[in-house]
Amino acid sequence: MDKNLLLEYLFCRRAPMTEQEGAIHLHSVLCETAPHFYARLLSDPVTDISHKREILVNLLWNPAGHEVARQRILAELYTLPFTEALDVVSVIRLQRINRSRARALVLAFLLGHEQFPLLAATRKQRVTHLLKHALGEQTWSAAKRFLAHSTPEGEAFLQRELLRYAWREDTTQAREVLCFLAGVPFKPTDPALAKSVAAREELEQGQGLPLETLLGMRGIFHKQVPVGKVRHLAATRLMTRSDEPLTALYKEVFLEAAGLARSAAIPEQKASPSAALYQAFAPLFAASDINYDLAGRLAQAVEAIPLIAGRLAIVLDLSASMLSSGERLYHPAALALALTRLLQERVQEVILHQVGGAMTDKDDQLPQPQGATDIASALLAAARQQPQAIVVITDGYENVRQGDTTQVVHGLRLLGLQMPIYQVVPLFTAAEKLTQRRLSEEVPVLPLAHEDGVREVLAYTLLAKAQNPLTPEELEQLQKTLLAR
Amino acid sequence: MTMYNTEATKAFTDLLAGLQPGVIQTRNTFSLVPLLPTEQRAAFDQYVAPLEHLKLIRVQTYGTLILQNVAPQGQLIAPMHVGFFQPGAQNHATSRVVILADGKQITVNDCFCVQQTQGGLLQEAQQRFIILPLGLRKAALAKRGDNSFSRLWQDIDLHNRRYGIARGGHLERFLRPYFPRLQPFRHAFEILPQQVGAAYFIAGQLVGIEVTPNAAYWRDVGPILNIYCYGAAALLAQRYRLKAEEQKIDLEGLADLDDLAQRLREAREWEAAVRADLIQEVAALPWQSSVEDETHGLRALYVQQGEWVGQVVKEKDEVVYVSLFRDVVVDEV
Repeated sequence: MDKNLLLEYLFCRRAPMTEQEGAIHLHSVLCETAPHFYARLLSDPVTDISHKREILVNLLWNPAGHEVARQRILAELYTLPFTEALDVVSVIRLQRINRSRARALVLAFLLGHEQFPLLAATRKQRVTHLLKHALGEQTWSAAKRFLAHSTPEGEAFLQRELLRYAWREDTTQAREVLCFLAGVPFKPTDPALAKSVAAREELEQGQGLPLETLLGMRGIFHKQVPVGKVRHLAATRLMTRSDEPLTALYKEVFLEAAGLARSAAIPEQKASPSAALYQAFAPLFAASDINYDLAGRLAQAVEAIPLIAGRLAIVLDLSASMLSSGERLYHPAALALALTRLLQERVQEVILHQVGGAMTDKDDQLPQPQGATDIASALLAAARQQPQAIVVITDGYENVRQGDTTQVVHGLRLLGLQMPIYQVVPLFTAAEKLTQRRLSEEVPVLPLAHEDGVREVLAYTLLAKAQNPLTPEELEQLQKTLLAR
Repeated sequence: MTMYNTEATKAFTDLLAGLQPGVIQTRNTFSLVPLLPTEQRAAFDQYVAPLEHLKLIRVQTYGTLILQNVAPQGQLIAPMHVGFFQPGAQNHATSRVVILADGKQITVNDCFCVQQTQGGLLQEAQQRFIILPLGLRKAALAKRGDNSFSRLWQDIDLHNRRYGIARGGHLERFLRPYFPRLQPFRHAFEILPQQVGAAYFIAGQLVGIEVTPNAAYWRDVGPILNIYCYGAAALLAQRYRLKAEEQKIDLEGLADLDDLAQRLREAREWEAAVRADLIQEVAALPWQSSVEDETHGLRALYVQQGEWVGQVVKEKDEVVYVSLFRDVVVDEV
């Protein structure tokens, strides 16, 4: 596997394919070079859906992709949330892929899905269309007929065409879902199906179904019901943000040091606009005592991440802006520290350069974010130590001076120092815009919203050290680093 | 582990005696030089910070605010042109520095209404006190001591139109749509631990010097000045496509890393020296001043020189608070 091709893919996979010239060719080459590794990329949580669809298309169309067994593809699809998996598989219908491999994959995916009833109850139209596409109009019509009027020939037909794919061979449940999709009268036993059927008669019965499902039903069956009422009936998506172990720990320590733990950080009025803030902070204070079990939390966080051989320099921004404010208070600094600690734990040799931040007089206390952001000087010092890669963990608000990092990176390249340099931005939400916070055009940005994102930094560290082309062992290690959960 | 946080040390004189420049911070056309106290400057710890201690008790009548220093101990210098956005009443801003003794209320009757008609309150997340945008401050200061609450509406109207906003004396009509672009200035500039003020540059022009009594006070006021006052001017500069002179590092014939580090250092030192000279020039201007208020052992002075105007608060002969500014010069196309 060509290292540069893989790097190119890793950099582009977060954005839609339409924004990237040459992405189709890149996918095709990756599939041809290492189809089994390529199939694993389906389950990568940060990949944009357009790339996942392209991966599936290649696995179905590209002759090299045929090396990957259907069960392997299904296993990757089943790791995705079911709505996302449905979005990916829908590409088969959208691109009118009709070959038998595609047909079998769709049927096995749908009928073999543990949540097939829920999928049908909440996404009826899409599931029906997909099923109809996989079977063909005539076969689907025949199936509907046999579902409505049972005959020995019909049962054999249903078994051959559909029911043999049923999850855990539960043909009763599969038949029930198929009746629902085909519009054949039946008595629902599955709660999701029962709710969906009842909501067609009376929308209130569908309370708790997803908003888009209820809005769809309103459009067809209950046009007189106000949209506001539909929203009220829909399942509320609670804000269930919870930090991962190390980030939570660092936040606790920061908050406690600032005197915000418990009393001030948790608003008493849960019904006020601060309720969301309460939700965000509540898990941190669930335990009766805050304990600084760093070793325990570290072990928990690094479990299952392989150790990477190599020499990595980290430029850690602990300037005042890393404090952030409001509900994001301390999040960038806490996540940055968590990532740094994880990298120290999983990379053989790490050199740390800190920008800003006040050191305390006690070894066991965290440096408090403060001061200005002089990334350029720290980057220069990091480069002197000849690491295999440099990771700059920063919110991107470079102000001493804005633009100096660009010029230093340019200077390093002029001096023949080609070590990869990455900008890691600790995010609170994946929706944050980073266009104004990029250090340099020559420095790729890795936006990370969770400490689990350390896997990505480790993958780049591994690639920085690896020879070109990658050996099967390196590819295996990369797979474990990036994708194993 | 190596740490990076360098600071320049040359001290200023005259109006800025007792202060020295920190390292320049830059974001696009907006840059600032933090002002740090030297050992010679008094601590001025008796002055409390405004965010916690300055309360708007009520709007008595249009243009008249009742303010209170809620601190049980410590005087409060309410910063110039502080604006309040409150539900149930039209938004108001002060026209000058106001001095409040500990626990005391004061009726300020020369304030501005900055919302021509009812309605259009800022959203909850944006309700906080602000400092008027730089483009309004000269007019606001000139109109101090007058009781007509509507006298800034025309200036707000003119100000907003420069940003392409519909007419009317509504400051919130500017703040609401521009808030997402103003807010990043909060994080783009960082408050240093001992910082008590800053000199502000927009597109390379020195346009403001702000000094507060102590670091706690600056931690309250600094971000607000960055966002609402000078941030607004930076956005206008971008709108007029003004550009700061870029301080590029000369990379021609680069020899090694030491050479690169040296060139980076020299470029920064050169820029720091140029900026410090500009600040010192303003500090040393022959200011024309007049005492406007004398209370609780403090004197509030109106100062003016050329296009610069502002207010200074002195405790005996020592400068406690400074707010000097001028408009950004835009060459008319």
